[in-house]
Amino acid sequence: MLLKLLKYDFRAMWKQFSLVWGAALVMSLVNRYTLDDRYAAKLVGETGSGLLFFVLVAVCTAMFIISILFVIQRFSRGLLGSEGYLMHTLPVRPWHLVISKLICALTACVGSTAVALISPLIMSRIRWSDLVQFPWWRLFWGLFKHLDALVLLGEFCLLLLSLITVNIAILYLSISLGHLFPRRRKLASAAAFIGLYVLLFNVYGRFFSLHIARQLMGMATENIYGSMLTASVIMLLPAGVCLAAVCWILEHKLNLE
Amino acid sequence: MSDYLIQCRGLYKTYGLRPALSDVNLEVGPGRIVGLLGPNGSGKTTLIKLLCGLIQPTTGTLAVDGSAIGTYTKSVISYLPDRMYFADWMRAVDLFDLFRDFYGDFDYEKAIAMCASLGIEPRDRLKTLSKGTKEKVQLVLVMARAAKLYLLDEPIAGVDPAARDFILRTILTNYNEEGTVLLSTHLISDIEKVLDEAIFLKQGRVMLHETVDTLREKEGKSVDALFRELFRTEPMFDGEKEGF
Repeated sequence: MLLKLLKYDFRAMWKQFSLVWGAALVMSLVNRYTLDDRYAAKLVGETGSGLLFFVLVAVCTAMFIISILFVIQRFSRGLLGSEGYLMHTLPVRPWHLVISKLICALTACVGSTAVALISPLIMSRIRWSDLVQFPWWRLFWGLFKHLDALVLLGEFCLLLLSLITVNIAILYLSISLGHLFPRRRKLASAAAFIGLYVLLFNVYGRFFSLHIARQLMGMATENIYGSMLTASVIMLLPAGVCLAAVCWILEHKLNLE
Repeated sequence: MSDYLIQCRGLYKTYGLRPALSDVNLEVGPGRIVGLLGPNGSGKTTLIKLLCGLIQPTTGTLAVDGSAIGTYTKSVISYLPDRMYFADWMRAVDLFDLFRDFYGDFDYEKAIAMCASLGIEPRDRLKTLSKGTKEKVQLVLVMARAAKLYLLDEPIAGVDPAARDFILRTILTNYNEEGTVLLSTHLISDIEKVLDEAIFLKQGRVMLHETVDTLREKEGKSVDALFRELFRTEPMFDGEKEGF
């Protein structure tokens, strides 16, 4: 059932992001020539090339704003708005709905970050022919000879994903808590969001002041692998608690008036 | 599973301090067409949403086909809400795919055939369709299922009399005859001829629940006439209107 929900959510995501991701990549490609190529630069002029670069920055900024709005709207409208009438009458458990939205939101954030990272690469002076001739197998061979570097990279990615996950989970819980109020739900959600962040920082502050936690962190920071994994776990724990609370609210307190 | 398809026991629902349903006790069997009748604000939509699991009861118990509201009951209920619930980027065929994925009783070919008979092009984007056509798409989604319980919330509200007949005909010619249709409306005269049972709701309470034949026999009048009698509100006389 989760896969079926993901199919639907990913289609909704693709409809929203295909245009902006495509626009960012196309603008990067255009800028590659207007900033680098003498003839193309002459064609559009200095003002034109500046304008095109500004458009690229604007598209990339819009991409991140759309990502944040997407995370909020896919949850609030998709589960607690009109579309909720469809989603909550499907024969699935609330956690299926929440996890599907979470995976999709994570993918959207990772996708936007990836496009933002690829854009400067496209704009840079690297020649495509050089890339084709580059001995990639040597690079991969080198990486496999240093598996620890791959593990480190994997752990770093996990850390970033955990960071995004905890933020999305707090957003979801804030919206769900706001939904419990009979009116002024958006205001209540905003207040819940601030309250949850304050609470989380307080809980973390107390946790790290505990002797046992300091010992645990001390042990972990002896090697960099342990410290990144511990940081991921520390961030995923409150994310798990928030998501469990969201599922409980959707299961027991859903109120689509 | 159970002799009754719907069972409510001591059901209460309040919105803040305002009661929407009060002590509702109800039993509805399978294979019936039941009218949920009452004026605006009488609790019809609230009862239907409770059965769908879209809102939670304040107190009391509720069961569909012998099970508490949950994944199983959602798989046997086909629900037509009183609003549009789909995203504008979708096409009717996307919704049919979604329903085929989630409901084992959804008949894709029947949905396409119903679209053809209703004059809907299933590949058109929903945002390009008129409000009436979108409503028809929702009706197709609901009636292309062989569900045990159809919950239709005001399916004929806000449409002209010709469209009402059309919608009712679509419902009657497509529903699963072993299932029950619970149809909420305040336009009694249009649906009276097809009803087996009538439930009268007033201010969140069940005033009356009888078979239509018994009602006619006991009261000696049509359900519509009885409804008008029970829910008649006196117009204000001039003095009252002027604040005297």
